[in-house]
Amino acid sequence: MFGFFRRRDPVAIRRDYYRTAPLWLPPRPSQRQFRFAIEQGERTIFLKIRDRVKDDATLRRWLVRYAPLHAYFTTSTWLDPQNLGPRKLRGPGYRKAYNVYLTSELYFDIDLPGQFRQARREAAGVVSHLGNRWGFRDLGIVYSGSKGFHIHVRDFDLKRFGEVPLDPQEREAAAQEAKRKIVEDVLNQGFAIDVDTSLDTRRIIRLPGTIHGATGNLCEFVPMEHLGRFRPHRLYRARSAS
Amino acid sequence: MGLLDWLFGRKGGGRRRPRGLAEPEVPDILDEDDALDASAYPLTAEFRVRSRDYNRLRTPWRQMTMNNAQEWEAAKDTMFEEFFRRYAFYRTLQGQMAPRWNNKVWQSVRARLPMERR
Repeated sequence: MFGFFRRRDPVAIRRDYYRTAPLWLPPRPSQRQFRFAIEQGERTIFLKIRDRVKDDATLRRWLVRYAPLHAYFTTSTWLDPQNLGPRKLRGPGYRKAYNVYLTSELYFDIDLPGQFRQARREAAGVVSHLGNRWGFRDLGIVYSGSKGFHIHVRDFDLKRFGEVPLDPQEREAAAQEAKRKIVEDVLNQGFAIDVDTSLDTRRIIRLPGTIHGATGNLCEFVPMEHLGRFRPHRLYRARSAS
Repeated sequence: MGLLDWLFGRKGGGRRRPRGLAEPEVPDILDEDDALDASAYPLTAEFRVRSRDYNRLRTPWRQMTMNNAQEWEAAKDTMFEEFFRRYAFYRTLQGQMAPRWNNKVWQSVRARLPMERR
């Protein structure tokens, strides 16, 4: 009877949304770790999904179960992603499968708090520069759900920058080194990027198709031709956005 | 809060903190706009600057005494400079140093750097 006056629980809204929402998965999803931020009492805790997320159905099952505040995936792929551990191993060598780096794409985070229009322009500028200067063609622009945009460079290929080392640790370092050259160039062009997001090989980034729980906005791909007039899709009004 | 929590009054009303998660230290955060008013001076306390985005980027605690608002502004500038010096470069796995910020990014980061006091 009083339901009309009651504010709907954001967790219930998210759970309902994930039951039928179109989901997106990064390339080779089963080689990645997925992490959720969930509310536990008044705290937010991070949860590693102890499952190989190989398809939409698997991802949906976890999203519906936890209705997370935030959902992320690793920007690199790993031999044993569910057990991805610290870079420094106790014990000799890198004998442990969980630290075997396989591949990664290149990601950019453009974050200009309070300057949404400027962030849109920066995103368009970075995409254009990556195409013209570095020849990347398979690029995706993602609205983060909060203040900025992410850029996914899916055709980043370590082979373009020299021989790919067989040793996983050397391969991880070589990938970072190749990215450093691009990232420095983009930074020198004056774009507002977060270097840590691009260079950290053990980084996670928000999963497009999921809800940014602090804002209630959908994190989603934005076609370049729609970027100029893009407005966020809000599923609920959050009490305090961050 | 569950029925048992309600009946037996578990403190805080929420679930228990999972084992192994330490209670975080919660210092006071002083925002840019949160200038100390004149009645607060002279003030002696420990301060540090911490990135909003990356918790690991933070200066050590520094004991400082301020007698007026001008000294507070000067102390903030000093702390921001120290933060910049420490973290202006990203060290890669191969030991190369990549700049972390250009001028535009640094201005944006600096405008949001919280000062913490304890």
